[in-house]
Amino acid sequence: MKTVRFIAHILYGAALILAVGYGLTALYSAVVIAFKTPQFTVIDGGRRFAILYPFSDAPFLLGLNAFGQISTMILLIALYAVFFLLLSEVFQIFRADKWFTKRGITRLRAFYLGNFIAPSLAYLFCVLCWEVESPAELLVGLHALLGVFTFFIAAIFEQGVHLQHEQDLII
Amino acid sequence: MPIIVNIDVMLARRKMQSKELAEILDITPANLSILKTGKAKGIRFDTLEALCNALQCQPGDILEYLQDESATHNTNSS
Repeated sequence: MKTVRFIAHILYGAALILAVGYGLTALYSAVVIAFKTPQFTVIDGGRRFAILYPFSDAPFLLGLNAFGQISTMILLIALYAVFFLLLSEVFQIFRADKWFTKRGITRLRAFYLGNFIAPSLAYLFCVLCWEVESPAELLVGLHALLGVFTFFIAAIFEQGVHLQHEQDLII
Repeated sequence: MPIIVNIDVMLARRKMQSKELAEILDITPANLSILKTGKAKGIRFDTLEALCNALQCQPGDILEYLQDESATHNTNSS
């Protein structure tokens, strides 16, 4: 149990850092593009765009200068921020002394629903706005697989909560 | 449930308070309340032993089996 808690601690921190990183990147990109700040530059004769690091000339994000691609890119970065946030919530379950709780089930449910729904909707949005690159279907499939695993873990937790409740009534 | 928990009766006989008993048993007052009201699913031998020790009684003084009418009827018909 100590090992699990220790690993969960590390993974929780890593997932949270990634969530904040992706979140800030999405926010920064959105602000830079929306307000057309000097950090947003158009290169290759207007064909491509570059978002520069704050207070520097080094490119941070590069892409084709088209509304569909820009919006898809920001959406994906924001969705990965949400993904890592939900993942950190899952790891948080295993940091606690008591694992089988209703709150834990809620966290797992949010994670598997997120993995089922968000990639599919994002894929649909990408198809409508922009041509989808080949690994996109694979990513949707992998997230769905992750969702299925989490769905079963949530079912185990539901049974665990029930057993925990029974155990708590043996005094 | 046909098993009746008579901790209240024994507490009254020993002139002891629930809070005091909970402290002796090293369980929370909430858990003692669950036990007293018959909401518990079971009782551990350790707890039963501590109860008997604290209340100076036998397990039979704490737990009582009350046969319900449907069970009696079933037994008679078979």
